[in-house]
Amino acid sequence: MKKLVALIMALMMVCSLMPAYAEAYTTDFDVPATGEKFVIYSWNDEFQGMLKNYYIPAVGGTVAEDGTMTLPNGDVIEYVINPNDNGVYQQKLDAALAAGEQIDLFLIEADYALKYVDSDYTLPLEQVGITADQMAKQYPYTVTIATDSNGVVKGTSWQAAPGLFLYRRSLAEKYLGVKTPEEMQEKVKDWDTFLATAREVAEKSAGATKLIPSNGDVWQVVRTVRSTPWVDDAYNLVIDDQVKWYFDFAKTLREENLTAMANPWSEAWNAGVGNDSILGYFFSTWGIQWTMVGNSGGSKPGEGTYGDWAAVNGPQPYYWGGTWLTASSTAKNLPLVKDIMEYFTVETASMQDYCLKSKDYVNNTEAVQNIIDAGFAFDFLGGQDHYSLFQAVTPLIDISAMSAYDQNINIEMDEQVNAYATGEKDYETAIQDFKDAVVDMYPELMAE
Amino acid sequence: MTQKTPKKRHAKGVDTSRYGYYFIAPFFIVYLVFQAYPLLNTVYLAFQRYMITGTNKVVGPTFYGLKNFQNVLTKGSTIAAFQNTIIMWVINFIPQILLALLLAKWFTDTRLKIRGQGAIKVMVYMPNIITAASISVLFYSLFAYPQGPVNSLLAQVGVIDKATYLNTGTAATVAIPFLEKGWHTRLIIAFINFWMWYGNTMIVLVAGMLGISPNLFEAAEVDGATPNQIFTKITMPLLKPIMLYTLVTSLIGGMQMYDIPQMMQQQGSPAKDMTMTVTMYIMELVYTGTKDYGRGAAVSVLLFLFTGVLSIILFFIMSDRDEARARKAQRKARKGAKA
Repeated sequence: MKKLVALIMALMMVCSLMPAYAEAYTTDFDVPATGEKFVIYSWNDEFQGMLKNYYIPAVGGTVAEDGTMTLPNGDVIEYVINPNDNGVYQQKLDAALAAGEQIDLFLIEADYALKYVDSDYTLPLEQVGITADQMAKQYPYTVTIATDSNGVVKGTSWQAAPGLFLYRRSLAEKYLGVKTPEEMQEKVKDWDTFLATAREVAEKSAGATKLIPSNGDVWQVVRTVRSTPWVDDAYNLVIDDQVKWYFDFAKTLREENLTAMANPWSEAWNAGVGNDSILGYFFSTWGIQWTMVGNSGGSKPGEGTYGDWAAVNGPQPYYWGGTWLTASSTAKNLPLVKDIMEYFTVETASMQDYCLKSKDYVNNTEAVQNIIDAGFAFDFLGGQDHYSLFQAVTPLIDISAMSAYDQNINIEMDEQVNAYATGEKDYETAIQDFKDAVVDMYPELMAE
Repeated sequence: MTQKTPKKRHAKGVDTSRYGYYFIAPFFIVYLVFQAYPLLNTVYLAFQRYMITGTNKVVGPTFYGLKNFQNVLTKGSTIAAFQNTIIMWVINFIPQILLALLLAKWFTDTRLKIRGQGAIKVMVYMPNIITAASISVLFYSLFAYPQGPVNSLLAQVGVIDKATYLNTGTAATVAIPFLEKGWHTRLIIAFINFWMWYGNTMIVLVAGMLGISPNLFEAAEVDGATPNQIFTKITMPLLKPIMLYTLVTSLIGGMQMYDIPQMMQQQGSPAKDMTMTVTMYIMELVYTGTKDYGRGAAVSVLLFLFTGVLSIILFFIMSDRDEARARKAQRKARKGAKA
């Protein structure tokens, strides 16, 4: 009897850790136990939270108070986090892979997806047991990114990452007299208008509010709509006109002090979502439900800035980020890799459940259509159905400018853009220093 | 009988002289595996072309002669990194040794008799106990932009415009982006190093000064020497070996400066060109982008040679001249006595 009471109490504790949903989604789990840890590598705890809140409860596993995740068959998940800053994640991941350490599943981002997809460190999905037919409902661009140069699919994503421009309804009305998203879109429809609006916001608010956090946020958009990748097939570094345009745009923003000088991912940048210093952000799908909601200072309308946001298309259709799951060459438990991949990236039912509860934008056209058809409204965006906007932007995503070198080259460029914008260097010097730095970092590349 | 035999065997059969080797063996094994092997391997790699490209393709290792050295000396940031490191070390070391000397002199002065010496010494030494990384993070947030404590302090005392320093107005009147400016960041890094290490240097110098025989000071006082004369004519010359020790250890530590400048580096900050130290550059060559082990090893070897040569030069400048002169004089005196 005592044991039963203890069991019930333990179950109640576990249940209380799960988000309080009306009905818990469940699915069968028949992965045999290996008796070993299941190792996942990532740069943040986003996917960890997804496992904790969706996958583990759905298959009937347990989450201990200290966060340890145990599957119904007794296997334990070890989730290793190394932050992205200054490229630390790739350093640690590369070292572990090269040393042959056990990693079952690791996560990669769009910026450097090709580096891993095009290597032997990732296994073909067919080897894991996921077929092309199963991925038919995914957005084609997400499959293309995870396909290596021989046409073999090596990764799968649970999300598509089309981007939008998010703005604060109250601040827009106060400084721009804008009442509807349609009017706001007119104010940011192209970059010239965008710049004029930035001036207007800074002037009307006497500098207290800025249209965007930093010039780096503009780059998030521009880099994905460039016509050429950083590195061409002959390993030349390519610097096109859009780079020059961006350098000048950044200089204008800096000189006229039109941004809040809060670089992406800095403290001020995160905090800006919850205070009145920043009117708008460029964000893609995950950024809204993951970053913005978390930083808004509330969890339901009326709290913090929750509910005061709205989404518009912005100057250009773009994408930002996206995360792919890949099976590591040092994996020991492929059946579990397959099960997790299927749960989050293949099966419509589980993905629709995850989509509705998390407000992430899932990589499953059928699930998204079902949700829109059922009438979708997101209270964080004041009841707006932003999935329809996403659905319109996603087919426009063009990944031709993507290369394996993007993350590190973008960091180098950032440095030179700032030096140019502050007037420390002229354009020629900045570009020359940029070329030198890139070639120094990647000796196999050539800069004319 | 039965009791005697084992005693005899013990005395005869066991050679205790070998035990010494067993006891020191662990050190040598650890040294060989973790010090000697990596050291030699670095030298070996410096002459190899060996890298893993940005797309994870392995090149080499193949013999590359002196090409790596040629590459790092003609291209890239090696020279700049050495300059940055030396500049930041010098800016930190000069005030550090001066302040340490002054404090050490006060603490050892028999006539001054400062009260609460122990407490003061502990306080002066305190910054050295905290991890460099924590201190860097602290300073990083102190100098945050635009809303950091230092900027708001400057606004309070009227150095920058109080009304507009947060974001408004033209770029000239707003807060100072300390960590985006090369010299600002250099000075901050040098200051952290100075602040962390002057206590340590002071303790070493105090020990050195206490090691000087009090008879000399008493004799000088009896002869009517002023405190200044005592300091420059007795303390300083006798302190030379300790000064040399401080200088060389600080130089070696300074040339390997890594954690503080690394933590002070804002991603994408233009100050990086002026604050990247040699070890940071080695890390970047080997771990960021293409993993170029050859060039990384070449810069490591250069750093080793640089510190080695500099230490030897210092050693000769600082210590040998007087001793050599003394030895010469002694020889002469002996010769004179014979003749």
